[in-house]
Amino acid sequence: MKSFMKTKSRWLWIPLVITNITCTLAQIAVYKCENGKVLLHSDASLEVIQARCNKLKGVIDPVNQTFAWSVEVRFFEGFNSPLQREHFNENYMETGKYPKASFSGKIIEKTDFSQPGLKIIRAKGKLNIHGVEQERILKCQVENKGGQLFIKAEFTVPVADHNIAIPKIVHQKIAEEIKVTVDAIMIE
Amino acid sequence: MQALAQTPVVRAHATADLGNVQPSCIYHDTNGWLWLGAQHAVYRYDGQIFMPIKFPDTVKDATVSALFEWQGTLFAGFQNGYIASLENAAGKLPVPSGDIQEDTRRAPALHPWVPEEGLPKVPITGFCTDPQGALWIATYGEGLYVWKNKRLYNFNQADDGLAGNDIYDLSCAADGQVWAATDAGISICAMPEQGIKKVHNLTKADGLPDELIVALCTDQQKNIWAGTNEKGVFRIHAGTQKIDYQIPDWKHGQVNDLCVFGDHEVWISTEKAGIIWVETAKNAIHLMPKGHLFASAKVRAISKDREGLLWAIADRSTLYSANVRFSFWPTPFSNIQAILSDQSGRMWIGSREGLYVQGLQGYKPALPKTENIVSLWESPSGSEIWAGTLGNGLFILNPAGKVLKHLPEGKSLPNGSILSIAGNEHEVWLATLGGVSRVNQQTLKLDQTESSEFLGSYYVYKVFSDSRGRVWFGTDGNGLVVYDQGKFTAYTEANGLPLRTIYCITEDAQSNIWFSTDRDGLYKFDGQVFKRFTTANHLHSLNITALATNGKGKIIIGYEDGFDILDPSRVDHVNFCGPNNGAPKLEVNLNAAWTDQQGNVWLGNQVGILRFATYLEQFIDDPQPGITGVSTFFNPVDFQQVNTFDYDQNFLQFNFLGLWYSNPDAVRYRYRLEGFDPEWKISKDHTASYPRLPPGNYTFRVQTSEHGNFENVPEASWSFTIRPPFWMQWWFILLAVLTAFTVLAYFVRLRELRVKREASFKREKVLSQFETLKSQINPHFLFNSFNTLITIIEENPKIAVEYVEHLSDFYRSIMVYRERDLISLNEEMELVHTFEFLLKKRYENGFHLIDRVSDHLSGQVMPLSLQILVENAVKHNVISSSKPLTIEIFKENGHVVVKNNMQRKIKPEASTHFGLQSLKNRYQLLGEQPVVVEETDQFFTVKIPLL
Repeated sequence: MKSFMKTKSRWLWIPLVITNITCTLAQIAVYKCENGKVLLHSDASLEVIQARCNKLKGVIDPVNQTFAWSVEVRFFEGFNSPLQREHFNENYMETGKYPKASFSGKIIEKTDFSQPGLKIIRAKGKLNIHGVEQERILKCQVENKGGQLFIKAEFTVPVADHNIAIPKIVHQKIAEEIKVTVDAIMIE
Repeated sequence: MQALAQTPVVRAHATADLGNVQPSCIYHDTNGWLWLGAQHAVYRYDGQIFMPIKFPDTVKDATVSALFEWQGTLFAGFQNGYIASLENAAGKLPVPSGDIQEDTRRAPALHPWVPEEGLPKVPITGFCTDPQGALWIATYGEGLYVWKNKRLYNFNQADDGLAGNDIYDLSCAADGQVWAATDAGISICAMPEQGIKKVHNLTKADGLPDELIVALCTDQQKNIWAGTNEKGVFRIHAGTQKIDYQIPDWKHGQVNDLCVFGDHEVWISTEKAGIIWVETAKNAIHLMPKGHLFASAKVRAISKDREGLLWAIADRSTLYSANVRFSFWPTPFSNIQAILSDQSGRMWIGSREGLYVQGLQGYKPALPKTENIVSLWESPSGSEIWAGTLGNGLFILNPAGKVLKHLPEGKSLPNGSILSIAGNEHEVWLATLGGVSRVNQQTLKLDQTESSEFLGSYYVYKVFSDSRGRVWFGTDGNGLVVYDQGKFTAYTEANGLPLRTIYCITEDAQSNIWFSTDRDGLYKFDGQVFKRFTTANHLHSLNITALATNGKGKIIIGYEDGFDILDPSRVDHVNFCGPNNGAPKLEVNLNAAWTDQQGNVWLGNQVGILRFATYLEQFIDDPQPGITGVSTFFNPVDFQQVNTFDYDQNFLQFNFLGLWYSNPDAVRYRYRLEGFDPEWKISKDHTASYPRLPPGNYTFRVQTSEHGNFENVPEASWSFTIRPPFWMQWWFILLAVLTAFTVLAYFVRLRELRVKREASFKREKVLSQFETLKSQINPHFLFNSFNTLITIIEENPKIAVEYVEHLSDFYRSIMVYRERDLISLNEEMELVHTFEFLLKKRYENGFHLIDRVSDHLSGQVMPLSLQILVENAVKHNVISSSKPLTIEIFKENGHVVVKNNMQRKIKPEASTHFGLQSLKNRYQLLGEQPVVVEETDQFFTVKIPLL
């Protein structure tokens, strides 16, 4: 029975761990990115706001199927006015207190990133924005083209989830859910 | 031995329509519909027709592995991790035609369900919902997912401590937590708040007999039952999370699925023994008899519906249903006449072939010799079993089966044929073929003194002690007799009960006494009044052989060909159980009925015993009606949204269905369109048509029944309105009346005006004619004319003749034209020129008339209008050679203009001012443009509209 094999497979972890250690020692290649693009899009009834940043840093460990992404929030630009950007940094995101937004965790499906071609994978991890951590599953598209990983993801972030207080009246100008688009190229 | 259908009686459903598609999962939704998942479609089954629902285009070739209804939407999980849904299935599915291809074409497809987080890539193995309303999804390989407030979360082994990532089944227990079966134990999971995960595992360390859990199920108390790979089935209390029951000595292989009835019976689909069932209170494992469909079938999944049917999907595309409330055991002895289940749950059976008691290896004889046992009784303390024989007196045994005493017919027992026994700690009543004997249970001393008058030497078929301490006797010859507080009473003709023979007696939960008669039906006695029930009250027959009350307070009425279930709480609500609805064919022997401690009713016949089980859950007793489609002129209507129609959308057709999987062929409908049908119509058809409904408000009501008895049965209804056409709406009628009134008023007024105007026009005309005449034969004019004539006669007689001719011409013209309303400008100008000639002769160079209209003489004017103007000019102005009067006549903007230079006479001639005024009035009455008069120092101008 399949399930029986599962039970027995518990003992297989020992050699796996050994392999892992060896890999870490040998500094097996990880995929890295220093200049990923993040686009924020707020579509409220009275105003559409977009901000972008191309300083997203990320790393994927293909052996352990883990990943970590982070971006400095103060680098976002492209708001409708400089005042808006100031509000974003000081009133809402409080970048002084919480300079970074991050997402790190594991990939749900076992994925061989070295295979060329397009894959849809799901990343399960902790999304930390404004100092509040939320567990999220984010669906992304990964394509290996010539050894580079092209990552694309789109997801929504409800501001309330991260304790970002926006006065009710301002919701006419700032959406309750911010659409986030990520576009990154990772190199081995 | 009589041929008997084996129980449970299994119905194999014709799945040929599915084209050898193997159903992979089964689900019952909250409306009672049965859903099947398969490789190419999901099917909704009504007991007769499979209604197919296609997959979305994105999952052409996948197999449904789980079905679930969540917040009114049906969810289908697939082998490949895909999830699809169908909202509001009832309102959207067309009425099935039975032609699977045609139905597939007409039915809407499932919608892909696409959360932002993406979908699993491994098989979906189950769904459930927790008390907070979150949707839990089990996968085989990725652990659990929770859909809470539009966000998908994952529970897995590595991150969240789940016992395993391969989930076989999941179920929500009484503690509000979700229990997941894995191959390393049970994971009890919860998400009390958004994103907060709680996981607690039960493993071998917690006492699980086997960690490989393959199936989970909750019972009525929402405790968890788990089926394992090797160790059978056990129950875990949801509160303490401790195992409180395990089926002992399991040797039937892996459990594939399980299903709990009440809290003391579990049906299990096993790898080795097919479907089996276990009475947990007795630790009794019941295997299906050899050759039974359930014994051999490779059953993948079983489930329970709201009618109490057990459904099973087995290999080779088969779908089975069975009413497991009926179970029948053939006995190795025949002719069962008395049944008793003692306080330890052991069965004692009295037959013509002796007394038998249930042991571990089946039934064994309890008496040394074969006795003809007709009655059984257990003492309240449970220390004695009394068995009455036909002819050989009474045997008293202890529960172990040892005969304590034999009381044969004789001095202490006047009649040795004991048909029925009842009593309490002190006294026991024996109903015999010669009256009743009262026996002291301890001393066995007989006391029969007071009863002889009432019970004498009658046959007494039944003695029954009720909940109020009364003892009831059913006699042959003296009807119903009761012993209450030391006194006997017989209910005879004087009490309105002309009955001689009473066979069976029972009592319902409201302490009403029910008794049956010799072919005179069933009676209920509430202490005051007897109420009779016959076939008119839907009893199956009048030939009643046994009565019992089950654990739900229903009266079970045994016949020689089946039994009825009568619900005392509903008027005349009787369900017959026979071979048609899953009960075996049964001839119930006289008073061979027993109600056990669980409330199950046992009935005995020639060859065995039948158990009609009572479970904790409330199963439905009637087909459940539902309106499945409404169409106007054969076009389906979304009747859950639309209920108003235009006056010309008045051909309505209703489709309805009484879901009754127990016996779909027997369902009868009674319907009525309130507002149209004066009476109910009874039919077997699923359709009612109403062509040409007049505008109005209607309610379509449909009721369903299995036995043609429509008293107190469930009903479905749907109200709608046919709007009157717009010309019959109140606002339109009001508007139309107002408009008609206004138009009428307008015409009346118009006519009045016209009449008035005509009258004044006539008057004006007459006046004008009169004035004209008057002025023309004005002596002054004649005098002047004659003077002129005199002058010219002498000078030039030829011209004089001409003058007279003109003068007469002038008068003739006046006479001709004055009658007419209008004359042509040409005629008028001729008249003016004649007049001019006359004036010219008189004033010679003092008068000039310049005619500028003669070139275009079209148009009409009033007769003599221009002439009068010329005459006026002559009348009011000085005319001399030195100051000549010049009159111009010309056209201007559709007017004829008469214009003269102004040289007023110093002494004006007497004037009535009639001429000009009359002209003005007449033009006004004609409704034309007005006559315009302009007067300046130099000129006097009059403009007459040209018609």
